[in-house]
Amino acid sequence: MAAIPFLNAGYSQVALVGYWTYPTADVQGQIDDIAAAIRALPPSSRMTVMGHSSESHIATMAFLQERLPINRIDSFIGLSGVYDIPSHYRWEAARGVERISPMAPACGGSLGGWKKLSPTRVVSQDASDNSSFKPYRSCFPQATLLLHGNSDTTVPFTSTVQFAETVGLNWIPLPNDINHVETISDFMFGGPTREVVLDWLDDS
Amino acid sequence: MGLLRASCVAALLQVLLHPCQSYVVVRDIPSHPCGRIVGMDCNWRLTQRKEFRRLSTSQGVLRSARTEETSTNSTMSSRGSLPSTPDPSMNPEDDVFQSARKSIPTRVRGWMRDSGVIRVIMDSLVWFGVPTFVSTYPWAVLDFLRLGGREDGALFWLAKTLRLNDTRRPGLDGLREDLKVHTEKISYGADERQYVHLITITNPEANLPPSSNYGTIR
Repeated sequence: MAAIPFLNAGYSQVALVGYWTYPTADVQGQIDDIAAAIRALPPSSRMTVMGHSSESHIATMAFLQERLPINRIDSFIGLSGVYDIPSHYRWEAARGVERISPMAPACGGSLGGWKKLSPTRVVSQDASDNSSFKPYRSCFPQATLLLHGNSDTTVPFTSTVQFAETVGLNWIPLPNDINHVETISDFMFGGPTREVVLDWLDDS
Repeated sequence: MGLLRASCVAALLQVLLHPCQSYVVVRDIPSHPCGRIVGMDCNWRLTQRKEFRRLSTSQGVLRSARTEETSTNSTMSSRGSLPSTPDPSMNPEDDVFQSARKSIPTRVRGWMRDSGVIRVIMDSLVWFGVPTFVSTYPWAVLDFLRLGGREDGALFWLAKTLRLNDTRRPGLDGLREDLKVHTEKISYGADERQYVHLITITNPEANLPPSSNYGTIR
């Protein structure tokens, strides 16, 4: 259903990627899946990648690890993503879901593993180490947009703000009180997120 | 009523525990100050669009020193318009998890998570959301069946006969009638979950503007 606005807007094909989830695979396995799935798509001159929540996290890590064919992808849209695993674990603990959420074990189950799979930490750690600076902005398509609802209580919007500011990516506060689900369900049933993304795609 | 409640709980759990499979369909149509449905053209919507465009220009640019030299086309919004971060422990929707934490031993919760029991429960609970989905968005059934390539099936005929398309609210666009779609499943690995659903427009001449893009969505 989320494909409909893109089909209506002139995209000739939309691919919905399925991948292994925990406990079958950890986050690194999911990154491998995403990379393999995009390689399996028919050749295309232009491609837009979009992910919501943990999918945005996985896609972001795939970009940072240079696992995706950046020359074939001309834009990336990250919706309500988790970009700092240790910080999000604290958030989950405050909500009372940290022991049933698969995030902690899927990301390695240790603080060291969480940091390695946290886009914000990967970039900021590297930025503090002058000997191995890497221009991470170039890992992402030139047209990259991060969106997050201000009323998101599943993943706080600060996750997106901190990551975007660390790397130097676009982030846009949504124009209404949008929660975690609405950033993706707006594509299915209409809403501000869909309008913002389609406008941005038109402009970029 | 019990089924509705179970569906809502299922939808909530699905988002909270398994966000990468968040097929949540239970939500109210967002409204805005003039009382109309979001998606309709009105001054409010146009104002919001202008606000978005204003934010997407170079105003309010915040950049770190390390990214300044490498970022060639990055524009960021100002933090000034953002509200304060919500308190994660104050959300009443999380009460069920807070009580579960008190009543279920940590070891048991960990076993349920690591053995895949929670994933099975979450995947199964999605089906409880179907009645709510159909009752809330009856018109979406037609789009769902068309995307799945089931336009020749009995369900599609039934949905057409029941005139579900007439329940579509103004401004909520469905799949355009003139588009013909074909959906295929492309496997990229050995496991049944390792697949891509590729939806292709088979009459691209109907689509404006001509495009050869892919959008990978989940």
